[in-house]
Amino acid sequence: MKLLLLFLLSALLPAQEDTAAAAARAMREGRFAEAERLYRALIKQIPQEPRLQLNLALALHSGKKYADANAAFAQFLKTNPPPGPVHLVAGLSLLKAGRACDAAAVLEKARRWQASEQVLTELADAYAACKRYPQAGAAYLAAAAKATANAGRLQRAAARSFWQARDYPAARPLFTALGPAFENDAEFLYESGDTLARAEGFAAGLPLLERSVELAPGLTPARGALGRALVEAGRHAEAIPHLVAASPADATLLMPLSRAYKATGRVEDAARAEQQYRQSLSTQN
Amino acid sequence: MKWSSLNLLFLTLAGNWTVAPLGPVLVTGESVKKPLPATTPGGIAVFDYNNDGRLDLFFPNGGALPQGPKAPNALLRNNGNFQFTNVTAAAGLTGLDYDLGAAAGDYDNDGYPDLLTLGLRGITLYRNQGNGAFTNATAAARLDNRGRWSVAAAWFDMENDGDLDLFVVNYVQWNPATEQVCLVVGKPDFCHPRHYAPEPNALFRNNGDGTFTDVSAPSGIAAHKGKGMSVAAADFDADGLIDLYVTNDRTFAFYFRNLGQGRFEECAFARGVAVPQDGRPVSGMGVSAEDYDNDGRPDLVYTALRDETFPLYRNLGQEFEETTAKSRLAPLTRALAGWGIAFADLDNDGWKDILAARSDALSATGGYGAKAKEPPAWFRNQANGTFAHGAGWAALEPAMYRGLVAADLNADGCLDVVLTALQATPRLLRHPCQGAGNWLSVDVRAPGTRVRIGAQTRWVSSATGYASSYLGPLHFGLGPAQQVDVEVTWPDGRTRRIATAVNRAIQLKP
Repeated sequence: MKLLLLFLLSALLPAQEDTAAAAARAMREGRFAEAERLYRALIKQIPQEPRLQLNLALALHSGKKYADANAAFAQFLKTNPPPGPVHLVAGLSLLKAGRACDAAAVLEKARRWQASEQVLTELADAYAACKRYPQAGAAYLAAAAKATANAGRLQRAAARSFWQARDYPAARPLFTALGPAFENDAEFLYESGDTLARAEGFAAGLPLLERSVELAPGLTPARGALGRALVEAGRHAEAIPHLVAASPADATLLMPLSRAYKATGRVEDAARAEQQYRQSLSTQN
Repeated sequence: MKWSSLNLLFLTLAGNWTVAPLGPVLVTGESVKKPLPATTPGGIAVFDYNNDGRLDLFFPNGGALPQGPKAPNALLRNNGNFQFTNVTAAAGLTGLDYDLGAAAGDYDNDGYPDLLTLGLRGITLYRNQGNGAFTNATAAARLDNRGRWSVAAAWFDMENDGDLDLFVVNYVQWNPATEQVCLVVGKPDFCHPRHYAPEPNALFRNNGDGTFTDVSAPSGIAAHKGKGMSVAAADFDADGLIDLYVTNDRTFAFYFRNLGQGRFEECAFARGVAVPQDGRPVSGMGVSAEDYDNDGRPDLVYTALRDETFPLYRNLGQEFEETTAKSRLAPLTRALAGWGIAFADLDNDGWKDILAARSDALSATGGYGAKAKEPPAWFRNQANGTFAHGAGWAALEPAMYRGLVAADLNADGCLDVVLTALQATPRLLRHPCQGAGNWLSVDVRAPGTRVRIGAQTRWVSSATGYASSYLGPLHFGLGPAQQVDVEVTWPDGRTRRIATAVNRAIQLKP
């Protein structure tokens, strides 16, 4: 995002005006460290001017010093709470600093200022990173409705968020609509197949999961989901290699693996898998 | 509002089902700190405490947390035609502490059903004196649950010696002083059960003289710690002894096979009922054991939370087959969260449907917000091993539903439904009873008794659903049948057969 939010300052002494002008020039020319130094100098002289805090925050944000920028934004917003464009940049800065849940709260204010595609997209990203998947899905969809070029990408993100939220009725129509555009995307096929398997039954998801694993044999969660679906379909021998591959990352797969072993006459392997499953799950609970 | 006499105001739903509020508010003690017990109350007991032939209602109640004023329990006497009188005080059932569940059973064989309440800090046994009043007999009966948080219980005759023994389901260790604050979607909410240590369940053998002996350890029950939520008691393997199935919260369920001689073996994995077959552990909540496919064996269904489905197990004799997907219950329940549950033939077609009280375990003021509230639902048994959405309940208000018991409260031959919800008055769903099939009500009372009519088999069990109890006549939907043969087998093996016309209530004694 290009920052055009530098606030012009008035009522400064001539020397301070020179410093402010130099700082603004440094910002325009991408010399953010220099701008930061100048704004800090001005703040020492005029600590009661909140707009200097904002300009400092913008310099820090532009210089990718997000943790420091967050503190400066917070200082400014404390005295300027009404929703406005600063909330968008402050939210972005929090998001960049890995504080997604805090970013969501600030970006919600930005949405009150302007529910634009950009604000909604950033808010959705913040929700998703904060694991607030239902809200993320809704925000991505709202952004998609306003989008001119990115609607498909935003709908894809919404579908993933609803899938992560385990809201399969909401995810399913999105996956269905987007299917033709992502027919060679292994992750899409996995999420879509998993949604169908859960919402409608294993048989509905099986073809998509098979295609996903065919495209990306290293996509372990997809192999786990495929293994489960194959066991449900009674294709035990085919399920075993997928479940063996995926169970180190997901111990719950040891149970269907045990079933598959049992069904194929591998009684000792079945007992061992079940024992591992019980031990693994017992420690988790 | 004074509840001494209740004139119910029914609102009409689709399909002419009607709903009315019933009794006092269920007080949970929920606060901003989200103390875990506040999400767990809501059991119901439906039993005929005064032997007048009408089913009465008991609602255990909570109170302030961590320890504060108790909200009084409620006993509603059924006067017939959906008229109830609150007789709690006269009956001496107001209660002592934070209560969650209840179980009715005649432990002293005097012909009057007694009542056990399950609470946050122990259990209380109320002996029915037969004159409308109960006395606290806990100490006299030597029942001591060691202050554990108990949720549900089953009265059952474990040795077929003619008196009722008691199995108590215990949940987790809870200490308000050390309880954490947990965040869900950025808001304080109830903590996941993994934050709490498990507890063993308890088994008390009836000594036949009004006292009990704690046999939890010698029976093998105490060796298994879980996070118990509910229990189903039935002779699952048809060996003449009542077995126990216990749902646990986010950990493996227990199947306690009754070996006789007061011994039990936990074999849920061997029987295929420890976890759903996909291996994902679920939050086992309420449970119901009935024969849904009319093959003569009791099957199992229990509620769980969102994305876990409500697992359904078909009894094959010695093992179970999970039929959640095959029965279509998986897609029907994938997006639901449930607590109380019952197999019950709502349309009297001779096939038991599934009824569920729904809502999330999380708070309606927590991370999920109002989405934690859900309406109840029922799933129609299509008589071919599959279920479909049942009609008529869609307009029911979403709430934090917990307990659910199906019972014919006005003796019209159709099952009404009693529901509890957190921080709300209980609800009575009145069955329209139009277009339903024929029926028969068979009153045998003694838990463990088996009743067969044609392909249908039912067992008397005091435990049902979540933290709840039903001790009344067995209801059979009969479709178009006009005349049926009834076979009753009591726990001691005595059997009686009679032929009878339909659409009536019969009472049979050994």
